[in-house]
Amino acid sequence: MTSVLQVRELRRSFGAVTAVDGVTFDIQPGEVVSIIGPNGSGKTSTLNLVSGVLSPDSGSIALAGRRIENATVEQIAEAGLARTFQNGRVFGTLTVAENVEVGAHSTLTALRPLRGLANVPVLRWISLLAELAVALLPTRAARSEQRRLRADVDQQIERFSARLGPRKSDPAYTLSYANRRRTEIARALAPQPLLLLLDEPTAGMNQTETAEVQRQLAALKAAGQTMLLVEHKLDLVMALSDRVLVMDDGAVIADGDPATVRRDPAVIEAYLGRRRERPARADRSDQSDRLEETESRVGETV
Amino acid sequence: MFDTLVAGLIHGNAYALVAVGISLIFGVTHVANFAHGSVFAIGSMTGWWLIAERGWPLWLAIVGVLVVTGVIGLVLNVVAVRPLSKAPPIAALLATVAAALILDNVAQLVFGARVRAFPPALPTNNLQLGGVRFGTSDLVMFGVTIAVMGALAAFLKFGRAGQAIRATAQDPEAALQMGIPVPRIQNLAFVIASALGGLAGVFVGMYTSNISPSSGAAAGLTAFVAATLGGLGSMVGAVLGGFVLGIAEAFGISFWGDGVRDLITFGVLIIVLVLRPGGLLGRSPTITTEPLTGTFNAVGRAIRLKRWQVWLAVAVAAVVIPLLADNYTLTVGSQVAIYAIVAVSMTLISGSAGQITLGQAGPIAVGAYTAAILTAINGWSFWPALLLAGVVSAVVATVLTAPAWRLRGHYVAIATLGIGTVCVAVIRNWDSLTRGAYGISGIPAPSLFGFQIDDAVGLYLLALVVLLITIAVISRIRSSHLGTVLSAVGSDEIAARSAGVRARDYKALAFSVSAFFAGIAGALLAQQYTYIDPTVFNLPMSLLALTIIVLGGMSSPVGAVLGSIVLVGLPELLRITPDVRIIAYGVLLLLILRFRPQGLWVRSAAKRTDPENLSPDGQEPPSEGDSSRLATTLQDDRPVGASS
Amino acid sequence: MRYRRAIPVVLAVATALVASACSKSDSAGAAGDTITFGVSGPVTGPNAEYGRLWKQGFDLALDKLNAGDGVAGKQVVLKWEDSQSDPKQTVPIAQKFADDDSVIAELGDFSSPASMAASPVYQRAGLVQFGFTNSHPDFTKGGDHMWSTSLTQDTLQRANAGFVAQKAKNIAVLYQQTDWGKAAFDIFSDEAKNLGLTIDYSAQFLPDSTDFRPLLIKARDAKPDAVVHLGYGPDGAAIVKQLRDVGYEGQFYGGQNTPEFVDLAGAAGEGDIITGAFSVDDPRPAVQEFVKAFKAKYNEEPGDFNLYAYDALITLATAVQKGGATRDGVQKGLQETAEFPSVQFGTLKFDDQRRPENPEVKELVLTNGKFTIADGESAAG
Repeated sequence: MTSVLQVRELRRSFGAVTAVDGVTFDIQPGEVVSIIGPNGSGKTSTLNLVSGVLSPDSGSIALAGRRIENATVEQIAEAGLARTFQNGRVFGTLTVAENVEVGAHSTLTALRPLRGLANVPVLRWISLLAELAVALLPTRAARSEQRRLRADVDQQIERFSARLGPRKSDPAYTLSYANRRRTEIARALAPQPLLLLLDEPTAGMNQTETAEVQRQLAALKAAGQTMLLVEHKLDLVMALSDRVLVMDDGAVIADGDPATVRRDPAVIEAYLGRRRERPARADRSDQSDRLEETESRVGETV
Repeated sequence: MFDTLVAGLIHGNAYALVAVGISLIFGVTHVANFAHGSVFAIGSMTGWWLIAERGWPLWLAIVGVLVVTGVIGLVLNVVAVRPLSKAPPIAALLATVAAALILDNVAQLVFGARVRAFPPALPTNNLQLGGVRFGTSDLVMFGVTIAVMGALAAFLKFGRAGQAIRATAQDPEAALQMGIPVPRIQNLAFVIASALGGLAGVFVGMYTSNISPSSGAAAGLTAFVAATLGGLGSMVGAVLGGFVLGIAEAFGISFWGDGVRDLITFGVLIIVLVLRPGGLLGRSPTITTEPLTGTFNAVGRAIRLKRWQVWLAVAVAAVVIPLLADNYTLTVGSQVAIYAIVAVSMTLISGSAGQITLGQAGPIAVGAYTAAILTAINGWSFWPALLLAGVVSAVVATVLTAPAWRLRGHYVAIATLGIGTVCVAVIRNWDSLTRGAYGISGIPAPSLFGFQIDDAVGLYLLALVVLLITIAVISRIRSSHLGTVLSAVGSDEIAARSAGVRARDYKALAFSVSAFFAGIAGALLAQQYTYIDPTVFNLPMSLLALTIIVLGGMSSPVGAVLGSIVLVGLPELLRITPDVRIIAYGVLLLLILRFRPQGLWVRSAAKRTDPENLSPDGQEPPSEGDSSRLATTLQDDRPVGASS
Repeated sequence: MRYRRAIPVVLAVATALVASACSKSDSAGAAGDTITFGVSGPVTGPNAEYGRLWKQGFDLALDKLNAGDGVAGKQVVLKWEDSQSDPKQTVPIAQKFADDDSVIAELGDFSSPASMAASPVYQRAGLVQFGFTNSHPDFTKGGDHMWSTSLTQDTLQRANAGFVAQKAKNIAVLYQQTDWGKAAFDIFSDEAKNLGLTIDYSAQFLPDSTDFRPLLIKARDAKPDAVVHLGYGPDGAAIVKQLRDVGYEGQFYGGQNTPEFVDLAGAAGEGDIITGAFSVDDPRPAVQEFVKAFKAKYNEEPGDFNLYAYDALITLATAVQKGGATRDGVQKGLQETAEFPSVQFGTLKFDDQRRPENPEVKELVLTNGKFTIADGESAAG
């Protein structure tokens, strides 16, 4: 059986800093794998390389046997990968239902006729115009797909029925932070992805909310969803993961089941040891990272 | 050759000096200050008045100009820009446009409209290099430019206030929390930049000798291009951009004539943006954190009309108005409808897909010329020409803008501005097809079933019918899956792409649709005027189209119609005060932006909140800050990998 | 928050109400003892200077017309509308005048595109559109109600080429890239060919340019006997100044007979030659009377645009006297009056293109800051 994800010798540097330095790992179907590590260890960069937001300097990535390291974000999404973002990114102007609908975009056929041409230069305009034509004068197939889409969206929202159900038609900018994260997860699940990437799904949530998300993810895992998780909250990681990768300075320093990793002295040294010196909360330290980064940028442009 | 280079350098120097101020303001406040040109012109006129009319010596006159323009800069920030700091940058941009209108017209009242000769306070042609004479004034201007650039760059890098300015530029909220007096810093930036604009007015005035209150718009625009070329926010870049532009123009004009000036100016701009999306010295990430688009619709929702209200409005527009209104009102009504067609279709690209376009006069011109050439010269009947006007306009605009969709923020707006200008410049220079500057006259009236549609009622109803079709089409797109996808692109491009949405393609599609309708509107305009020439399709036309949808609420077709009624109708209404008509228009525009920055036809946000925001166990500070944080998150387009 | 929601509605309704109120009130102003002409012209915007010059000329003509009994026993009044010379605004203005029964003829607009966009409305309303600055050859083709006292390029530029040919063999020509400039150049170069003039270098420039040096360097390098400028005042002044800066010392033809040009060109303009119909030094009594009255009222020398406006209003008043104070009367008066008094032309006759017939033009030289008639030379167009 092929791995859902196969990453080999992945490298990417920003200027002098090597953010990801020869990372190799596999994810098997149904498996939940977590990446942990101190801030700046390359976790999110790895996630961005896998999802195509960044392109690697070298190395290979295969999704269900298909090489994707040179593919665009959109192509990777169509190949069956869905993700959430560190800070939670929803479409603020769209309703919850519409957010989820966009998630299913990559699975549509009747509403996007001739979509095979979408990757061809110039000819892709045929598919774009066809899509426009169907939007103005829907075909029978398009109407039935639209109905099916609506049902699918309802089903995804059902997952979080208590929270999102009543707010299905509210624009996302009115939602609480936690509800935005839920909407984002529902959107990512809409295309029934082969692999779901979750970047700190509980960042900024309180204990009650974290516990709730943890239950949701456990249910997903039980349903056989393959997931790659980046998370700071170790309790959550230990409870959900089949396997944990520990990264430091862009490299994987440990790889094993949660219990083993927890006892690994190198991990304790690299991760927990350093963590004490750093600001505890993830989003605080992110903020300071950003300030440093912007400072240096201004210097260059002035 | 050498002479041309010298001429280019001298002229480039003038651009550079103006560009530095624009770049400074952009660097500090992220506002594209369209009023800078007006401040520059006031600097020129004040300098002229003090020296020629009052007999002040040059140094004292310069002090006077610095004071006057510095104060104007302060007022500009306090009155027009700062009140909109919480509103999206596009509101501030339009506020500067309104301020420019006011400043230009006040200057015209104060100094008179005529072109004046700036007194040669320093010798202007006592030196010679090659075959070109120049003066001490040019050398002093060069020295001033370099000194200003060096001093500002050093001040920003090393000075305490300068460092505060930079911190403010990057993140006003964080800077505020760190105890930096942000409002005072922004005031300071406006004062410095505007005083520099005034100083530039004095030296450029000495250099060009001809000065007038209305010379600011052209100077400001070219300098803006120079600043963009160099990389907005970079002082050295602004100066470099100015010189690059001056030299490119000099040689281009020398080879191909002055008519290609716009082509060269904006051609260079577009090429540079394609090759280096952040400008020559800017790096693209510097700008990606800067939000221009998207937030407007995040702060409110368009008010929805009930079905009966729609029918009532249609009935009033189509039956009651033609019966009751006089021909004058109907003629204004046709103009309102034509601009509404442009604006309604623009809600798709600038509202839904979140891309600010500043060059809609381009596709309007292409459509108008297509229809005019087909009907007046080739004898086509109106209806096929109308359709083809839309198609040609969509194709031309789509091909030309193809490289623009990988740009972000202000750069999209500036690139589309350039493309719009290039369209018109090509029309002006392509004599064999378009009759160039002669324009096309005798455009025949459309006829339907043998009846000529040439009176006020007929033209009004024609424009109205096309408008209703436009609204129907755009509304249908917006309510389809395609419309949802377009809005997703406008809300958060990275997230949309991660869901498999080819964002660039959809932006291009949305723009094509809006260009199609802009072309149709152009054809209607051509039929109504019966005569068109390239000067009709100018930057104010593009700005008007954008202002209409901003007032309407950016993504609301109904709002766009309302915006068109207000903005096309207002200058007519204000005829009661002829002398200060345009000033009053500018003031009203400022007031609307100030008190309804989310648009006229939009319910403001924060009225409906998620009760969970208030839940006592929430760690997050709830409500208010919450939605503004969402806005920043949405805007934060920096490469995600950069912070892990 | 209901009132907030109401704001857009209130605004819309208010807009509509005020709009209709405005348009109604205007047409109510028709009175029996006045003759009303509409003026559509630039009061604000980049061409506002021309609007100001017009107003001086019009006001002087009004003083003259309304002295004593007025015209046909009535007082002449003008209704000004600011168009900024923008076709978006001239069309509604035209409609406004068309709907206003008191308006019996219209003067303007300044630029040809702005005028020509409005022509169909005036033509339909049977209202004379007197475009006294519209030299675009197509302007009077818009309909039989379009009249103009503006010299066509055909007259002006053939004469201009004639004057140039008296002094030069090889020339460089710079012309505005506008409808006006291109028409001027086409006719000028055609006549130049007839007269055996060689155009060694020609280039177009944009009216809002400020730096012409790249073009002037090339013009200089062609070593012409004279440089000819076909354009307006401000650009002419900048060109003649910069021409001297790039080291060209030969004869300059161009610019405009406006105080603005004379001021702006300063010393560099001395010796400039233009072709025109008007000089303050013209000894004809009509001219001297006009110049004297103008100086008395405004304390400055009149220029071309003051005169154009003055003559235009006098012409319309003369037509009213002949045809009567109605729209048809004005048209009839213009068609049937054999000769109109005119400061500019001496007497004015319209040809079948509704343009001045065989206008006389003169060679004017800028000496000591004044355009004066060159030594007794004149040429018929």
